[in-house]
Amino acid sequence: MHSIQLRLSAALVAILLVALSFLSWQTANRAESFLLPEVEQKADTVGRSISSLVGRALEVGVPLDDLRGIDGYFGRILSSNEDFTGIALVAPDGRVLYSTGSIDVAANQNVVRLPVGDSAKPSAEIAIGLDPGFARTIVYKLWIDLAIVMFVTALVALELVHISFGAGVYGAIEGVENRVHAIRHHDLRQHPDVDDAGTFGQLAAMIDRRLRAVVERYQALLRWSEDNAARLADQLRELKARYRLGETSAPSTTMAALAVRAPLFVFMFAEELTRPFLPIYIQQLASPIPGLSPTFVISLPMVVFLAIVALTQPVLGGLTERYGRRRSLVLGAALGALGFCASAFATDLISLTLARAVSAVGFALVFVGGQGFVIDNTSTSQRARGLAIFIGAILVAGLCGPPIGGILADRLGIRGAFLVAAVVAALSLLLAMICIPNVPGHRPTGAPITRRDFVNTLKSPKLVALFFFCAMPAKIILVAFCFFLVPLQMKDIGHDQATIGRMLMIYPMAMVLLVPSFAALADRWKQRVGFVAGGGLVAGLAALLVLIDAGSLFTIGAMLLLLGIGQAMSIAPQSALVGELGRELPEPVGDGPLYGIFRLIERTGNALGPAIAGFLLGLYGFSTTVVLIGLMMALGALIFTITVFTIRSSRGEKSLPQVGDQPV
Amino acid sequence: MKRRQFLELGLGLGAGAAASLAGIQAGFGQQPGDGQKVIYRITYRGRTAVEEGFDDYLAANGANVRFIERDANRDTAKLPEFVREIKEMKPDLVYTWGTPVTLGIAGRYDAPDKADYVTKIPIVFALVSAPVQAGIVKSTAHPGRNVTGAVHVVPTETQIRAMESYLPFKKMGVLYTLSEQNSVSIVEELRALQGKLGFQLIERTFRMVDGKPSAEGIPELLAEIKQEGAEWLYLLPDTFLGTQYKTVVPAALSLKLPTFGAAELAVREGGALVALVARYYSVGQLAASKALKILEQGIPPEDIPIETLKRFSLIINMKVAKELDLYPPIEMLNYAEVLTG
Repeated sequence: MHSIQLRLSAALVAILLVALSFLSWQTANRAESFLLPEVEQKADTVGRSISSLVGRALEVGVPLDDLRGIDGYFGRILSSNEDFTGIALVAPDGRVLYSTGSIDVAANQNVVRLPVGDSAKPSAEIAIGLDPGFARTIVYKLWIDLAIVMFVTALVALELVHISFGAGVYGAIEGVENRVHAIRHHDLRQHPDVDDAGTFGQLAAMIDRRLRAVVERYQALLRWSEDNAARLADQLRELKARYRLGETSAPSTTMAALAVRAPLFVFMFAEELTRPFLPIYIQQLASPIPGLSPTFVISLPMVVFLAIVALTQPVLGGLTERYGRRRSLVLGAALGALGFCASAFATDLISLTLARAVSAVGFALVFVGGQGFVIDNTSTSQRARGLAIFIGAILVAGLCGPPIGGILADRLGIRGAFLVAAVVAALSLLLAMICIPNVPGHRPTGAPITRRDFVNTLKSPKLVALFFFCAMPAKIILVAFCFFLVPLQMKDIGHDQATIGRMLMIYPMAMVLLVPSFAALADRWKQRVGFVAGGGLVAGLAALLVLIDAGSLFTIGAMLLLLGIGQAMSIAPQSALVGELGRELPEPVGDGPLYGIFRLIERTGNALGPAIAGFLLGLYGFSTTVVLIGLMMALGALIFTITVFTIRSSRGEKSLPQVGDQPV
Repeated sequence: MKRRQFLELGLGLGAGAAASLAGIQAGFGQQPGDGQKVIYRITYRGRTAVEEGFDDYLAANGANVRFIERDANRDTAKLPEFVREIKEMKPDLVYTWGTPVTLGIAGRYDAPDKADYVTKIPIVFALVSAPVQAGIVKSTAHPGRNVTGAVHVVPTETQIRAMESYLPFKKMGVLYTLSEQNSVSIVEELRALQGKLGFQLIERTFRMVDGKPSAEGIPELLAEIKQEGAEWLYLLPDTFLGTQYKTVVPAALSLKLPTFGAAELAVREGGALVALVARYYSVGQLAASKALKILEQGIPPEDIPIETLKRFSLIINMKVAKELDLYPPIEMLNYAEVLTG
């Protein structure tokens, strides 16, 4: 991204953050001021119920000094009221008869007192100690919530800025930047026109007129000189070569490809909304199937979804090419919306699975159509950047979707959240109709994957190790942990869906922030194998953290963070290694089919993820399942390393780093 | 209390002379007419809270019924006459109170000659503690004959748990009659529960004189129980023990041995510290729900399981608690009934 664009975006986000910070500060401040009276009010209510029970004991003749079972009674109250520090029963003469927890009955602050019996002449007094830190903890948690909402809002805002300005203002700014940049580097080539009537568009046009004038004068000079002196002509030709006078630079931007970002982002956002609550919803609808463990049954709709996505993509690639990308995106968005609607009204596991299957076909259509659109509208050299835009939209959707989905599910219920997802998917349909130009389809041009490609690819032990011991386990662990095990476990230990959604942000956040840096480092140090293996080990061994405490948010969060770091380390080098190792094949396989096979194996991993997790969860429970899947991943990384280093061969030439095109 | 007056009238006249009262309406505000059902009700010792619960339940459900009231007045010799009358009047349902009345009207399920019993008209009983042991039915889950009803005993395990929550214990004593089958089977149940609930049972039986249980030596037996370290004396529903509360309970009290009763009488009149009981009123309601199933839904009694209550009443005798200086844990006062008198 160019500097002006970056600064503009930063400025927009900064304004938004200031506004949001102010609002959040106001909210948190007010929360503190009405939270404390609430806590006191509750202590008063609890105190009344204690007082009435003690009053009854005294009334039926139990002496005040001889009450039994007070410790257990007070203890149970304390354990269900985190905001109380202690409870005491005080005699009229001030003696503390019974006391549980820590409480200073003489304190003036943070103690609620209630009389037992007649308040004018009480027979005893109940004192409840309040924890002054409790309100602070609540407000602190509120701050975390607000910060996350702020973060997501800023990201969505940035995305909206891209969508609304993408081909317009940003394009014009980029055009001007390209021109100035080129001139500074003594490059006087002409540039493609900027289609913008605004200030930046005019500026670009002005530069273009100047450049044309220079070229015209130069060419006049050249013609004149040809007639006069061959020597002068030579010198001028050298000038032409130096400043590239009269040439037109290739369009350096990926403007056209940008058009897909809006519908793609919105559609992916709809799908990501379902992450925190989908497994819980399935669990609610599922009824036992004899012979299958309940957790395995829960995984079935997810397996069906991911299997359809994996299996239909190779077929859909050609189909969307033939029928047009726009139609594919529109049809995909429509199927997606239909699937979400049907999911909202599902009554049992079968109907939900069918609804998810419809959504899966929609998802695959949008994904393949969007990817194809980028490929259609970029040259080979621009493709990496074009695909980066594509992946960027998916990653940002993955970051924003789960927390918002969790909040929606908590407020509207899961069925309501599904309906919102349907509306969002319908919006992506509209955007696809508006943004994507209607270009008729054509006969597929890409070479389909043949059986021979498969056989040739699988002849390389290194590629086999990379595919089956790194790429596939990486997808299994991702889908198993983020989409399945963590939401279910967090629900079991009593967290709401908003918290689950926030937890699911950790992984994409690590990816967004770290993938570019790790990709650059791996290339600079020429350590792709090391990064792939190291990443696999980090991600896999992260699972061992659950052995500390599977019921703690901190442990689960740390595990997801390490999983994200590990995957961020390996994902780009892994993709690059496919090309690198592919060139070592005795019988060459084209990059197209090679990457096609790679993605197919990755997607198979996606579909296996919930199935494996569901199966193991039913047998061994959460912790063991997580550890087993993690160890499988780490072991895969080791096998890959051993394979690469035992079968040493000449290092392949350095190839361009490729960005994965998976839901990362 | 119009209903109460009818009853006193019925009792005063005695069962034989009550035939003329056969048409008395129970008074649920409905006129005799189409669809009104007739219940022939036999009590053992006059009207109790069981019948109050039974009538209130039917009234609350808008049942259109009338009663033919009979009372055995603690005399089972009157029962054959009732059987004859039932066969003649053909009521829709017969209600029986307690084991002796139920056996006298329905007979054993395996009786060789059933001519002297009611075997076709549905019978709903209340207050039979062990219908299977008494031979009224083969199984409570599926009676398999024209009899169903409501059992009033609290499950033994529930009793022990209540005892434990009042005062945790390791050893518990029982004093029972060896010739009472019901008591023997409860003691067997207690033995089986020792491992599960982690306590030790100390057993003593009443001395037998001429094949009959005797009150002789009760203080000595209790002293032995106390000597062996019992922390509770469990007063199980033993008929002979029921007649000896006045001897047993004060003796236990003087030994500072707390007593836990399985019958309401044990705590209300017998002076036990605590009892966990099924309320007569609630038992009546449960029996009425069975009657309604037969009368209104047409379910045959052989398919209606015999049940006991799910919720029971804990009664604490505060006077005794004070004497023993053993007051109930404070949270028990949330649900217990406390006797302070």
